[in-house]
Amino acid sequence: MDCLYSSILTSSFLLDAFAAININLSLHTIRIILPLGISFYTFRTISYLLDIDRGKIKPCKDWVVFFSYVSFFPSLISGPIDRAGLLVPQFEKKREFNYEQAVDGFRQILWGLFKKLVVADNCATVTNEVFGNFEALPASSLMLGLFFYTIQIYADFSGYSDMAIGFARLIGFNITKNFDFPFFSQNIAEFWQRWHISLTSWLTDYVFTPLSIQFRDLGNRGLILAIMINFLIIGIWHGANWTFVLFGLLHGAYYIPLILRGKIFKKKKSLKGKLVPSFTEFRNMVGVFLMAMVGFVIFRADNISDAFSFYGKLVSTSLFSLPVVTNKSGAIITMLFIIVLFIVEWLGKSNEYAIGDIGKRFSKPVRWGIYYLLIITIFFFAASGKEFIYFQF
Amino acid sequence: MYPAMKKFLITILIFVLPLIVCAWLLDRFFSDSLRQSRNGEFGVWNDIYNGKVNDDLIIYGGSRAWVHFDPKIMTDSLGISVYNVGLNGHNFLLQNLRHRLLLKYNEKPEVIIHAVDIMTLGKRPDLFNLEQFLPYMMDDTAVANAIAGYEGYDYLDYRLPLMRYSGKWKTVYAALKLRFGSKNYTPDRIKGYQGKDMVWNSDFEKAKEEINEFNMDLDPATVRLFEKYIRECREKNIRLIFVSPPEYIEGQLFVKNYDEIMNVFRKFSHDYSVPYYDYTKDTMSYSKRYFYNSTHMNKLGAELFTRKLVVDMKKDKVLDNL
Repeated sequence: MDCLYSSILTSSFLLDAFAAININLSLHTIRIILPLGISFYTFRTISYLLDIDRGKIKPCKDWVVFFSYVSFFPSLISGPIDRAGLLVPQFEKKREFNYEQAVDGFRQILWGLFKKLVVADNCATVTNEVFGNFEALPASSLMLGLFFYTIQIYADFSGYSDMAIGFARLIGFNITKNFDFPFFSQNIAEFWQRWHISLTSWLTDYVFTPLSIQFRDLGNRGLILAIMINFLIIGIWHGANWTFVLFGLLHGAYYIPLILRGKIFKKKKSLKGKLVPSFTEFRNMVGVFLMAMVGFVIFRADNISDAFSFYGKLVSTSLFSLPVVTNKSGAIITMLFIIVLFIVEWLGKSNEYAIGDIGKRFSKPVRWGIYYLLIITIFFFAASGKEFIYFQF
Repeated sequence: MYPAMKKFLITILIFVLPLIVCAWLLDRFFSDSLRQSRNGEFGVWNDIYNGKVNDDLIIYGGSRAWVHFDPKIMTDSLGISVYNVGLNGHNFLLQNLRHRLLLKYNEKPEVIIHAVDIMTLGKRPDLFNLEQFLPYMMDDTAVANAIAGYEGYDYLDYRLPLMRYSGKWKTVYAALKLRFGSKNYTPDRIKGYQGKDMVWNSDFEKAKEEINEFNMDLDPATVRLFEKYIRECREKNIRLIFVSPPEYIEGQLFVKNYDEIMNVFRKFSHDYSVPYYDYTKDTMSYSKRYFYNSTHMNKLGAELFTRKLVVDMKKDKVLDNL
């Protein structure tokens, strides 16, 4: 959303509008005025007002508490988007330092760092090469790059969320969970219930639900319309670019078969606690992953034309050739880390975050051994200099 | 303080302590292992630090020194010992660091052949191949000061043990291999030289389509430093010779101010009576057969060029009375 604001505010439209009333702003000034994490301020304050209006919460009388809620720093830049109902009472009550919670917070930060620095940033090395030069590469490289990008965006954003949540826990706050192992989803609806949860639940409460009530007389058509509008907003939230509009609409369109088959609200059997998935469950997970991959081409592309060129290049016999990447050993190591990520996440999918239960499950020496291993891995395998993808939104 | 917080802080301290000790030990371990390397730039730095570059003639320069001057051919023809300390990817600023360390830890050479080109007196912002400085940058302030101005290492990398190894798993792996792997490997650089057994690649054709002509910048501070270096060589009685090896002619045409830059060397050559051998317009510069890209000759070209240079130097008697 920051990206949306940024692109709108820096467009000639706004500059011209200010110029018309004799205020000449430069792009530089606009960028200073534009506060960090503006979309998160906005979403928090909107939900605060709407929740008061709906009688869900009472207005906050302490302005320090209110502004602390709106600008809560661990989740300021990239979320999660916390609701006042969850966070304000935590500011109001006296907090006491909790050893277990602080240790748990540290553990979650460590896991977030692994996801961001080791998995996401190493994936970025390959994806930047592939997407920057896709016209000259074989389809197999494009597929590899797309696979890595899908992992990158998940590990980057969920890694940041883990760090934000972990840091909040360290200082005594519980904030909204933002990812719930989305790649283990059984269909796209479940995927969106587990991906960027704080945004999707926000939009469900304040956009989708009112719209679906409004359109209820239209039956499935009304539901499709509400979904499409909802996903259009999700797309535009990422930036004022047609690629994001198309990304949103594509994901909205993914829902249509589910709506027509009456499966959209059908709760899938939880895989939590299950060690080996059935063939159907595995197939569904792969299907969801592939759908996400297809969508992320548009998300990553600079423009729609590039996205379609990328799709065009993907459909080629060179898909069956060996992928070409400059840093082969780097790509292999990254693949190994992706496998580790998936295994750990699968085994820990019943927890708040993948390694959330090791405090209970293992003895102290084993636990500390795991922490040291993670720290060493992060230290030596971290790829440097890659900003969080979601800092731009 | 709350008992829970006290317990937490003590636990953190106990947890971090082994990490600090290990960081220091691992730093020593990796640095010492890399100091045993005989490969790549490590090999040359280590030879310099270990006082193994006591040759009569030293080749200086960037990559166009490293892959172009074959010390064996020169030794066989001239009857003097030769070492090539060409520093891949770097301009005179860091070539000068190598020069200073060489003089500090080794005997003064009789002759320096400095391979000069349009990049010599420029300045790059990034620290190319930054891993090569890992084992030395914390112990040697000369190295730390020379590379501090480049983008590559941060403040803490120079001060905290192991910090600079962060993210460098390939170098760490190389260090482990050096310590635990076989010691009987053939170094990739022989007396600093590495002939490239390669043929012309197609990158240049692509570049011709994509890249327009451009100007190379001279860095005034580097030019001054270079002049100072020439004077110092003279004071130390080190015979200096400039050589510009062949460079594929079409590549030269990309650089609009090519002649202007090369004239700087001609002027220095004239002002300080430094012999200058310029092969950039030599017949070799017109044949792709001798190159693997527009600025670097392959082994075939390098060997032929080295022989040519030796003949020309002998003819001019520039190495007489050594």
